[in-house]
Amino acid sequence: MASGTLEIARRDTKEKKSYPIKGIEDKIKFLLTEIQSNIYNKAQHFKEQNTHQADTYDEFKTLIENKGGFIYAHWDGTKETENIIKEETKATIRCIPLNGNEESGSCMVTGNPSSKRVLFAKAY
Amino acid sequence: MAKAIPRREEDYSLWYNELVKKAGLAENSPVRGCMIIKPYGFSIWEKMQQQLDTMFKNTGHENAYFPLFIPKSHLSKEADHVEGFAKECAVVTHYRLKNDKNSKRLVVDPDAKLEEELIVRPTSETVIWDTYKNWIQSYRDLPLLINQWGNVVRWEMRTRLFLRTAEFLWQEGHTAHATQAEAVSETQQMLDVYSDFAEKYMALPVTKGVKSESERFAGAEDTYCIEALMQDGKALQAGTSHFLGQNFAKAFNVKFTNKEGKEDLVWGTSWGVSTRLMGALIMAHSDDDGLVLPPNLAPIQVVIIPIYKGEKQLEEIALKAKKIHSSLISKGISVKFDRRDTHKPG
Repeated sequence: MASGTLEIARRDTKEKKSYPIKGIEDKIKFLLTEIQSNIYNKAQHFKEQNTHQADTYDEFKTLIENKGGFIYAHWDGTKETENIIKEETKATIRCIPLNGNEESGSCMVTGNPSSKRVLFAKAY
Repeated sequence: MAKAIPRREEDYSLWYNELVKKAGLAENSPVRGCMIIKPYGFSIWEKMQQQLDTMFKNTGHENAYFPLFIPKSHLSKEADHVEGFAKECAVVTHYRLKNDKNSKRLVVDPDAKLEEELIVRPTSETVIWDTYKNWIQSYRDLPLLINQWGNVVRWEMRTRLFLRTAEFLWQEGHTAHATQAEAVSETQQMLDVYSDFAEKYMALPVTKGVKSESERFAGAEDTYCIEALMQDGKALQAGTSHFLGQNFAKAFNVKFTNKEGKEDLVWGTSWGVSTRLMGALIMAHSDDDGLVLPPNLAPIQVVIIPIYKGEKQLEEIALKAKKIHSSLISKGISVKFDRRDTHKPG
């Protein structure tokens, strides 16, 4: 501070950098906005990296077991199938996505027709 | 942080538990499954509350407060609802204690048995719809857009700080409408409010969707939800918004006279988020060094730490820091000047 500068340490990136004290308020305001979007982008990137599609039940089991994350798969819409998946893999249907594309396919367990993929995951 | 927390890779679950305690957010209470929210944790929750409350009011909702206790007979009026919650209800059976003369111990006074048992609310649909019966007569009384901030109790067996606790803090919105279309659009609107809040304030990307029948709220026609992904690859439900159809109106006989002068049942919604969001916030962004908060929800956004040699220099720096402190505050940034000499800078 004696030299008219101060060091700013960011919690999100752990980056440290010196800035002149003059105009520091605007710099900090800018950095807070940047940190907010950086934290979001990091979480968004993680979500993308950990979202998968499974076309067969074997593929699904392997993904749930080894990688976890969000898995999009076809489901025949019945409680029975949902329960089988839950008992065998501990994964549940998190939701039927609102923005999901219509895509006809067949249920990964029973082979019955399905009109869109639903979101599976192990959950808290 | 004095003592390191476990690394996420080693034990994600332990990492979370230790972080919550070491960061001073919450701790366990003498009653298993209940938590003590510490000042720092509560200040984050308050920031969430303030923002959400603003968003609710901007969409036309008002706050009110309904009682903690629900008569047992009320809860049983909606069949699916009671079935869904019966297994986790705390029940009040007596209203007095007394000193037992023989054992010299405090005991429940058997003479103070309640005529009708009271349920500690697991959610408030029943008490609220019982009230709406008196508040709604005509289409002019609709829509009724009410939110409540409070606590609820669901007797959980496996609990974790913030993520699953027997008592938790939340908000519950309960609205009544003249038409199905209006109620559905309210349900979707509140889901959008939750997803905006999660993304813009919590910095948490979420997926919006509808629950399958087996995961649906007990008593709802449709449950909409936002789902987030945690760093261990597990999903966390971060908010729900329910389209109740006319189920609660039927159960509590809530009718209104429509514009044509005919009597009709009212359509309903309910929606809520809880202190569980604290768990999501912590789990989604924090790292092996501890808590990472998005600035939009951080109670303290900037900490100024003096680096100095000797008391004289500290006083000089403190003077400059004070200036920066107040000009940051004038720009709406929350700041703390930390001159504790027990902590090393860096």
